[in-house]
Amino acid sequence: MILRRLSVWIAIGGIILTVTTLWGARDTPPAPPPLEEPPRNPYASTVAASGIIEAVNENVRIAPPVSGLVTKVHVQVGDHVTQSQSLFQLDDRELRAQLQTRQDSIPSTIARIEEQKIRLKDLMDQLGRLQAVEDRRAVSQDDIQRKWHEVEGAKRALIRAKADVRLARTQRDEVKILLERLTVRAPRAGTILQVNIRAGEYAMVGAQDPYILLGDTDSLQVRADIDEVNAPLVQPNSSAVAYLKGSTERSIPLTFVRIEPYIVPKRSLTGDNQERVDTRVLQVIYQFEKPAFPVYVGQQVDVFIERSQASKNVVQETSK
Amino acid sequence: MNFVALKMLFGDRAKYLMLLAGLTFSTMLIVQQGSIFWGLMMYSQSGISNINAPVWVTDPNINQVDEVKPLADTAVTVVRSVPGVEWAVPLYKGVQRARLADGNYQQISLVGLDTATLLGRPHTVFEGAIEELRSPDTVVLDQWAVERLGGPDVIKLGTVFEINDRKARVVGIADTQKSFQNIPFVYTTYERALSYSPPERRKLSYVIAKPIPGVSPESLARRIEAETALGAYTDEEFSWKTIRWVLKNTGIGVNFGTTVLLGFIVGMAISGQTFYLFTVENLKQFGALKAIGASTGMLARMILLQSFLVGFIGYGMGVGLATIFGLTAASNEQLPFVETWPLLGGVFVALLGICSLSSAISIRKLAKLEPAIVFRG
Amino acid sequence: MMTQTIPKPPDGISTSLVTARGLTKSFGEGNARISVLKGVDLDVFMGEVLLLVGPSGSGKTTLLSVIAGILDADEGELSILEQSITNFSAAAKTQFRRDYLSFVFQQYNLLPTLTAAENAAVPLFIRGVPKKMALETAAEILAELGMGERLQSLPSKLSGGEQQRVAIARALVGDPRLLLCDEPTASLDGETGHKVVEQLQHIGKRSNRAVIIVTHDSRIFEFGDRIVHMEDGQIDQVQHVNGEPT
Repeated sequence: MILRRLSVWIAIGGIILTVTTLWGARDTPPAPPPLEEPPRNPYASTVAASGIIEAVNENVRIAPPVSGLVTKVHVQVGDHVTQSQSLFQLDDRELRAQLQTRQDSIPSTIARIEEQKIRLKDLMDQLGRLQAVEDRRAVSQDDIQRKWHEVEGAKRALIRAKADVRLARTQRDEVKILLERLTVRAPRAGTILQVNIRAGEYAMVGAQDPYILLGDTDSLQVRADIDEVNAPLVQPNSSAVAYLKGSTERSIPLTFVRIEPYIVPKRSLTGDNQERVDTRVLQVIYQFEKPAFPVYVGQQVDVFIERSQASKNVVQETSK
Repeated sequence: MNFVALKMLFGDRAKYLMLLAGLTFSTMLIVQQGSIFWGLMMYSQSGISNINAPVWVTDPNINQVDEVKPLADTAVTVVRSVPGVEWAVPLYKGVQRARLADGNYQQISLVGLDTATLLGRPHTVFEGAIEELRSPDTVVLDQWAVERLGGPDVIKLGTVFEINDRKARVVGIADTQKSFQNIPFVYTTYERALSYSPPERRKLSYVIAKPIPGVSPESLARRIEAETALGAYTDEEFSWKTIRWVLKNTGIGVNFGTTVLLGFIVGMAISGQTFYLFTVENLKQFGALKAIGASTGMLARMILLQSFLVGFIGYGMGVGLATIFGLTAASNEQLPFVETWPLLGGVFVALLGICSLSSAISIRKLAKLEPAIVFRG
Repeated sequence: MMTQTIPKPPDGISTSLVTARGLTKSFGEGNARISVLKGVDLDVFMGEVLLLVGPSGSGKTTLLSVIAGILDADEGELSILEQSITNFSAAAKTQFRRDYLSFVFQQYNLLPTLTAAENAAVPLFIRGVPKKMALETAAEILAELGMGERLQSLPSKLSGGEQQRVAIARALVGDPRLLLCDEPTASLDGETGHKVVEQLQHIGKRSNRAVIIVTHDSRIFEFGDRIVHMEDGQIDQVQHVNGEPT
C-alpha cells in the first residue's frame, strides 16, 4: 500500500507541475500601451481622414517673369512681407546699359528742336522781308512762293524734332519698365514659407519647384483627404476635429468651409519621388483658429469628421 | 468492495508497475509529440503573436500572416471610420535583406510600427529602449537576430548595418517568439520601414485596430468586414487561419501530423492492451466473486474504479514526465514545446475512454459467467 | 431402462432443501449438439451431505452449475428452499446465491492479494457488512477451523490444506443454507483431504443446511449420507451410506 500512496502522490505532483507550468506559460504578456495616445474618434460615429495643414489663401509659388541670373535675394524664410515688397532681383546690367543709351539720346533730339526753331525763325524773317518789298519787279512772285515753301518745310521739321524727343523719352521709359520687371515683388502680404533660390543662381521660367513660396500663416486651413469609398458619408457643415500626428492630447476644432467638388488622386506622402496613384480621394476644406500650441503649414493631421445620423443609417442598411 | 478492488490493483506489485509503466509512457509519448507539434504551430503564427493586436485588417483574400497583400494608404482612415474602433494604426511587415559590415547577408522580417504610438511593439526589451526608434535610422532587433547576425559580440547597441542599402543603427534588443523559418524580427517606424523597403505600388501591409470597451474584437472584425471591402480578423482567428494554411500547404501537417497520430494510436493501444490484460488475468478472481454472489454492477464498479485510478495515476505521471522534458530539453526555445489545455484534456479523456473501453470488454465477459472459469480450471 | 423413482429421504430427515425435476441441459447446435443432462430428478434434504460421483463427462459439474444458478437448465423444474429458481432473472439468481448458497472450489479461487482473513470475509463485503465487523466474523470462523494463527497470511504463503480451509471459512462466513463443493479434495493429499471433508461433514450436520460435494475421491465416500452416482447425464444409482442402495 506504500506503492499506492507513492504513485498517487507522484501522479498528483506531475499534474500540479504541468498545470503550474501551463499557467505560467499561458500568461501571455498584455500588449504594451501606446507610447503616445493614438488618435481617437470623439464622435458617436465618424468619417476619418488624413489631412494636411495649408494657408487659407493657397500658397503662392513665386516665379520670375523672365529667365535670368539672380543677383540679390531680399527675403529670408519666415519674413513677413507687404504687398509689392521686392523679393529678389534678377541681373539688370544689360537693361541699365540700354537705359543709359536711351537717356543720352534725348539731349541731342532736344537740341534738334532748338535748331529747327532757329531755322524757322530765319526763314520766316526772310519771307517777311520779301513780302514787304513793294516793287513787284524787284522780287519775283516765284521767289516769294519758294520761300513760303521753305518756311512751311521748316515748321514740319520742328514738329518732327519734337516727336523725336517724345519717342526718345518713351524708349527710355520702356527700358525703365523692363528694368522694374526684373525686381520680383510680393503679389500680396504674407509670410515667406520657402526660399529655393540664392544670389548667383539662374532662375528659369516654368521651373517645377517654386523659387519662393509665399503663404499666409495667420489663418490656416486643413485639407482632409477622404477615401472615395467613404465619400458618400460626408455631409456639408459636419463638425470635425484634427489631431497633430504624434500629439493627440491636443485637438484642433475645425469649422467647415467647403467640399472640393472634384475627386483627385491621392498623393502619397512617402518621400518617394515616383508618382503612385492607387486611390482617389475626396477633399474637404476646414478652417481653424490658430491654437495655443505651434502648428505649421504642411504638417500632417488625423481628422475625424462627425458622421450625420442620416448617412449612418445608409451604411447600416447596406451592411444588412 | 472498493478496498478489495484497490487491493487487487495494488497488491501485485510487479503487475501494477507494468500497467503503470505502460500508461505513463504512452501518456508521455502522446503529450510530448502533441506539444512539439503545437509548438511548431506556435512558431508559424509568431508574426501575429509578436504584434499582439486585437484586430487585424487586411486584404479579404489573405491566406496567412507572412503572405502580405498590401492595402491602399487610405485603409487606415477607412477603418477609423467604422463605429466601435478605439484606435487603428498602420503596420508594415515584410521580409527584407540585412547586410552586415562584414558582407554577410541575412533575411529579416521588417516590422514598421506607427511612429507616434509604436503600437504593436514587443513587450519585453532586454537592452536599450524602444522609444529610441524615433531617432533617425534606428531599428530594434530581437534575440534571434542577435543570434543569426553574428552573436552578442557582433550585434550590440550602436551596431550599424544596412537594410536594402540604407543605414540602420541598433538601439534595442527585444524579446520575441521565434518564427517558423527562424527569420528574426527587426522593428522600426512605419515611415522608415517604407523607405527601407523597395518601391511598390502599395505598401500598407496591415491596419491593426482595437475595439472600444464593450465591443468584442469578433464583433468589430465582423463590422469592419461588413462596412468596408477589407478583410478583418481577430488575432485568434488570424492565428488559426495561418495554422490551417501551414497544415494544408506545407508538409508539416501531413508528416508531423502522422507522427502525432501514430504516437496517439500507439499510446492508446498500449494503454488499452495493458489494462485489458490486467483485467483478463483477474478474470478468474472476478468469476469467483461473481459465483460467491457479487452482482455484475458491483464488479463493473470495481473494474471501473481500478481503471480510472490507474488511468489517473498513469496520466499524472505521464504529463509530469512530459512537462519535465519540456522544461529541460526544450528550454531556451531550442525545441518547440508548447503544452495546451485541449491536448492535456483530450489525452485525459482519451485515456479514461480507453480504460473504460477495456473495462467494458471485461465486464461483458463477466456478465455471462462461464462455469468453466470457476469450476475446475 | 429402470423406472425413475423419487428418492426417499434418509431416515430421520424429511424436509427437502433442493428439489430438481426433469432437468435437461445440452450444449452446441445441430449435429454438434451434446446432451449433458438428460432429465435429472434429485432431492437434497436438510442436514445431509450428498456426494455426487460419476465418471468424467457424466454431467456432475453441469448439474452443480445448474443448482448454483450459474447455468440455466433447458427444461425441468428446480426449487431451492421452496423457491422456484428456474424463473429467476440472472440478477435475482446472483442475489439468491449471495444470500443462501456458497462454494468451495477445487482451485480454492482465493484472491491472491488479500490476506486469509480478508479472503474469508469477502462474502460479507459483498453484502455490505462494515469492514471491521466482517473481518472479526471471518477471524472467528478461521479460528474454529484452526487457522487462528494465519489470519494475516497471503494465500501464496499457505499450504493447500490451509488455503482450502480459508475457502471453507469463506463459504461459511455468510451462514449459507446450501454448500456446493467442487472436488474439494482433488488438490490435497489424503490426510489433509480427510480433515477437510470431516469439517465439511461437521458443518453439514449442523442445523438445517445441506452440503453437495462433487468428487472422484473414493476415500471420502464414507463421509456422505447419500452417494448419487451419475452416468451419461442421468442419475444411475442412489446409495445410502450405512444403508442399502435403492
